[in-house]
Amino acid sequence: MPLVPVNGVYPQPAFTYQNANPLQTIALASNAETVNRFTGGATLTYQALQGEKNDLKLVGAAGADLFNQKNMVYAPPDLYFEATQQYPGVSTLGNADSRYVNWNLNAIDVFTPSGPSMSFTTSAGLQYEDRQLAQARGTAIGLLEGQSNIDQGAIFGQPFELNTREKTFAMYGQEQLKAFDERLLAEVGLRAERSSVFGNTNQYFIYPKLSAAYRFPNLLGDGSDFKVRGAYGETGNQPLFGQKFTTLVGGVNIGGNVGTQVGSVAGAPNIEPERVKEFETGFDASPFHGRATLDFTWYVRHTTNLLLARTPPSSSGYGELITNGGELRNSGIEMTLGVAAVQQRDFSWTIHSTFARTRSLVQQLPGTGFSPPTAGFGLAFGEFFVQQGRPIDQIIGQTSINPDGSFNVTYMGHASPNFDWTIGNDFTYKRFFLTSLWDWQSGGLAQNQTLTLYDCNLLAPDNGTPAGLARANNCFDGIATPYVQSTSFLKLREVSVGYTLSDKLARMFFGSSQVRVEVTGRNLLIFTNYWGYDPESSNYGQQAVTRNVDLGPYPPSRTFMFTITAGF
Amino acid sequence: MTRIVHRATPALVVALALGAAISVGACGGFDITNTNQPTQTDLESHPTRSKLAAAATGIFAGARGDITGFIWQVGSMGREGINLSGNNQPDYQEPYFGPLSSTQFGGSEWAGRFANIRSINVYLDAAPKAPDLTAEELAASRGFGKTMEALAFMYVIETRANLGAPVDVDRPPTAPPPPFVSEDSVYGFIVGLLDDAQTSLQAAGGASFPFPTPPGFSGFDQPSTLLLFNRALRAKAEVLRATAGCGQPCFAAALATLPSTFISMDASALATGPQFDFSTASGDLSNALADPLDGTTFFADTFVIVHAQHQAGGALDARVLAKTTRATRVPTWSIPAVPLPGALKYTIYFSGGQPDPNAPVPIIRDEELILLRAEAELGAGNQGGALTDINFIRTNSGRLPAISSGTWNGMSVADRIGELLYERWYSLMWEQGTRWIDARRYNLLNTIELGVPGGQVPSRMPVPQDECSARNLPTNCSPLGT
Repeated sequence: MPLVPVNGVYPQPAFTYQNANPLQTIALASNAETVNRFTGGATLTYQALQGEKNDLKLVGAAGADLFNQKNMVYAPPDLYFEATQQYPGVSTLGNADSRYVNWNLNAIDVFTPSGPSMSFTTSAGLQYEDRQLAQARGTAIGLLEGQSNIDQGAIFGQPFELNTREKTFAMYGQEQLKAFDERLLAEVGLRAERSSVFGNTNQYFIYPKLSAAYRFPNLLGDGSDFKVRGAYGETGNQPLFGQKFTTLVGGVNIGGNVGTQVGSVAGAPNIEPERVKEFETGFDASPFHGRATLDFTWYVRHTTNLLLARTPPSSSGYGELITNGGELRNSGIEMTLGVAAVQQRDFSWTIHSTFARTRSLVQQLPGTGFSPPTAGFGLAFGEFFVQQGRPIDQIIGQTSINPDGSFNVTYMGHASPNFDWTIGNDFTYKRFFLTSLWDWQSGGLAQNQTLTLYDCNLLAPDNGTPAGLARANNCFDGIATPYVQSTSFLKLREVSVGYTLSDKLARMFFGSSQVRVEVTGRNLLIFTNYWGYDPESSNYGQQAVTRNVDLGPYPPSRTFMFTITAGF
Repeated sequence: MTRIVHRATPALVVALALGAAISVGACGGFDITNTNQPTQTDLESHPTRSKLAAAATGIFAGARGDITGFIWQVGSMGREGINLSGNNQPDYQEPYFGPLSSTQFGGSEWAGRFANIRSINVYLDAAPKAPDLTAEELAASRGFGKTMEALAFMYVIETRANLGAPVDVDRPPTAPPPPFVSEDSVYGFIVGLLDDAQTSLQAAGGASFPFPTPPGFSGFDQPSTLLLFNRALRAKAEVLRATAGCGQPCFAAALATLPSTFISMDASALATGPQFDFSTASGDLSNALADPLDGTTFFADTFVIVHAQHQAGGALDARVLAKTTRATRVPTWSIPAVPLPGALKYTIYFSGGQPDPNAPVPIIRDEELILLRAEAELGAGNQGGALTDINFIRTNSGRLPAISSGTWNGMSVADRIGELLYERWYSLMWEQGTRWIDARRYNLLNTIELGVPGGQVPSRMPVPQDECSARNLPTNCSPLGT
C-alpha cells in the first residue's frame, strides 16, 4: 500500500480507517505544547536563642510555582480523514494558567540537657497553601485551507473554561528525641488541617504520628550495624476541588435558547478527607563490615472514610456519586539487598536487588460494589469493580454463558502483581565495567483492549488459525477471558558496557583526569506471554485503581546510548 | 532558593510573631464557591423565573439528547439501518450478533433519559419556590415538566419491555435504589403523569409558559396546545400498554383519547407534530443522522427495498423513494464480520438534497396518530375503521393502491396486523425504531431477517449493569424475575 508522497501528493490508501494516510497525518498535522514555568522561594531564619543547652530558631519560608501552558492542535482540512468529515479541518487552542503559593512559619528548639548524647528537638508551626488553576480552550472546525487560527473556521465550538482554587491551612507540633549516642531516635507529632475543599471549611482534622528506631552497633560482628524501627502515622487525603458541589451543566443550547441540566456528578456537600493510618516495622542490617546490606520493611495501611467516586444506578439520573465511607487495607513487604560479592584488585562484583509485594483488600464499603470511573469497556472485555472482600483493583468479567443465555460474571484476578523483583549486577574487570538490571514481575492482570480491536474486527495476525478463531468467537460471544491477560514478565531493563580511560589517555584526548566511555541499552529483552507491545502499558496513565488498560498504545522505545563522561 | 540568616534583632522577632498571629486571618475566606457552573442547590433553594426558564430549556435539550442514538440503535436491531463506522465494534456486533451487553450498546438508551428525569424533578421541586411566577405560570410549568417526564419514561420502557423499570426515582442518589415495576405499571405511571399534566395545563388558563419554547414546538407552545401533544403521548402509551398485556381496555382508552389530540385526516398535515430541534450553532447539538451520501457512518438496510410494496405503476412504495437513495460511496474498508454492503442511505434528514445537520426529528406526528387509531380500532374489533385509516396512509404516504374491504375482510388477523405493521414501519422509518418495537410487541421478532450469518435479533435491551450492581443482583439482572 503506497503511503509515500509522489510529487508532494500523499496517496490515499484504500484500507485504513477513514482512509487516513499516517505519513500525511504526521507531516501536516501538528500538536504543539509550550510551557513557561517559574519556581522560586525564600527562607528567612532567625536565631532567637543560642544557649549552652537551648537553641531556638524561627524559620519563615515562602514559595511560588507559576506556570502557563499553551496547546495548539491542528489537523488541516486536506488530511484524508478530515476530508471525509462534514466540516473538514480542526484547530484547538488551549491555555492553562497555574498559580501555587505557600508559606510557613516554624519555631524549632533543640534542647541538649547533658551533652551531645541526648537531645530534644521541639518544633511547631503554621503552613498555608493556595492553589489556583485557570484553563480555557476553544475549537474551530471547517477550516479555511492553510489557516489554523480558531476564528478561521466554519464553526467555532466546544468552548471550555474551568477555574479552580484550593486553600489549606495547617498547624503542627512535634517532639524528637535522640539519646544513647544517637542509638535511639524517637519522634511524636500532631498536625491539624483545614481546607476549602472540605464540606465544613472551619473544621480541623487532626493527624498524629509516632516513630522509634534503635541501633545495635557491632551486633552482627565487628564493623556491622543493625537497626530496628517502627512507626505509626496518620495522614489525610484531600478531596478534589468541586467534589462537594452538585453542579448544573450550563451552556446547553436548543433552538437558540441556552439552558441548564443537572450535571452527571452528584457531589457530597459534607465531604471529609480520607484518613490513612499506616503502621510499619522493619530492620536495616549491614553485616560483614558493611559489605552486605539488607533492609526489610513490613507495612499495613488502613485507609478509612474513603473518598469514593461511586457509580450509582443510572436511574438516579447521575453517572457518578461522591461519598465518604468504607475501609481499604493495603499491606506488603519491601526488601532491599546489596552484596559486594567479590572485591579484588582487578575484579569486583556487586549484586543489588529489591523485592516488593503488596496486597489490597476492600474491608468495608458502604452500599454495594461499583465500577470506578474509567473501569473499562464492559464486562465482555473485563472491568474493574470495587467490591467488599476483594482486592481494590480486582477485574471481573463475563467468562461463560449460562444455558439460559445469561452470562456468568466472575472474579478474574487483580491488576497489581504478586511481586516485583529486580536484580542488578555490576562487574568491573580492570578498566572495563558491565552493569545489568533485570526486572521480574509475577502475576497481575491487564485489560488488553488492543487485542479486542484486532480480534473483534478479525484482523489479528493469527486470524484464521484455530487459536485466532477461538478468540474471535469469544469476542463475538461477549466472553472476556482472552482479553484479561497476565502481565507476568521478565525484562532486561538496562545493560551498560564501558571502559574507564587511563589517566594518560584521558589527559591526551580530553585534557581531563577521569574519562569514561560507555554504551547503554534500555528495554533490550522481554520474556512474557502477554499479547501486545508492553504488559506495563496503561491507557489512563498513573492510576491508583484503573491502570493496566491496554488500548492501542505506542510501543515502548528501545534505546541505545553512547556516552562519554569526562570529569574536570 | 535564597537563604538569609539574621542575627537577633528585636524588630524581626516582633515581625515574625505578628506574622504568626495574623496568619490565620490572612488566609482569606475558605468558603470558595464553584464559579464554573451554576449549582443544583442554588436552583433548588433560590429559584427565579429566569433560572427556571434555563432549566426548562435544558429539559427540552435533554429530551432531544438521546434521540439520534435511539433511532440508529433500535433501528439496527430492527434491520432498518446500520452504523458501519467500524470504530466501536459493539455498535454493529451487539444488534446483529447479540447478545446485548448490559454495559455497552445493550445498556444504552437508559441513563440519558433518567438524567433528564432528574432535571425535570429538580425543576418541579424548584418551581413552586420561585417568587416571580404566577399560580397559572406555575401550573403551566408543572404541566410541561410532567409531560416531558412521561415522554422520557416512554423511551425507557419501549426498549426494556417486560424487564420493567424503576419509576419512583425522585429520591436522593444516596438513598437505596427504587424498586423495578412491571411494564404495565410503567405505562400506568406514564398515563398518570400525563393526566396529572393535563390537569395542570388546564389550570394554567390563558397564561403562557414562563420560558421560551424551541421552534420544533411551534404550534404546541401554549399550555392549551401542548395539551394536544400530551394527549397524543397518552394515546400512544395506551396502545403500547394494550399490547403489553392490557388489551381491550387500553385500546378503548386510546380511542377515547385520540379525538383530544392533533389528529387530522388532512393529507398535507401528516408531518404535523412537535419536533426535536438540532442545530450547528455553538453549544447546540447537530443531527448526527444527517450523514452525507458519501459518508461512511449510517446506512439504510437494503431489506427496506426487499419488503417494499409496489405502486400501481410498478414503482416502489413512495416512502422508500422519498426516504432512501443509493450511497455514492461504498465504504472502501470493510468490517469482515459484517458482510453487509453499505449501499443505501437515508435521506430523511436532508434538505434540498443535502444532509442537513439542522434537520429536526419528529417526536410524534399526525401520520403516527392515524396509525395508532388504526391499531386501536383493529384491537377493538372495528375492522372497517382500521381499514379507512390504513388506506388513508397507503394512498397518501405510500402512493399504494387501497385495499378493498373485500380483501381486508378476507384476511386473517395475523395478516391484518402484518399490513398495519408494514404501514407503521414505512411511515415511521428511521424516526423511532418502530419496526423492532412493533415486532417485539406482536411476537414477530422472527420476521426480522438476521442479516448476517450467525446473526440474532435481540428481544429487549437489558437493564444496565449499574442498576444490577446497586441492587446486588447478578449481571444481566432481571429485577422482576421475568
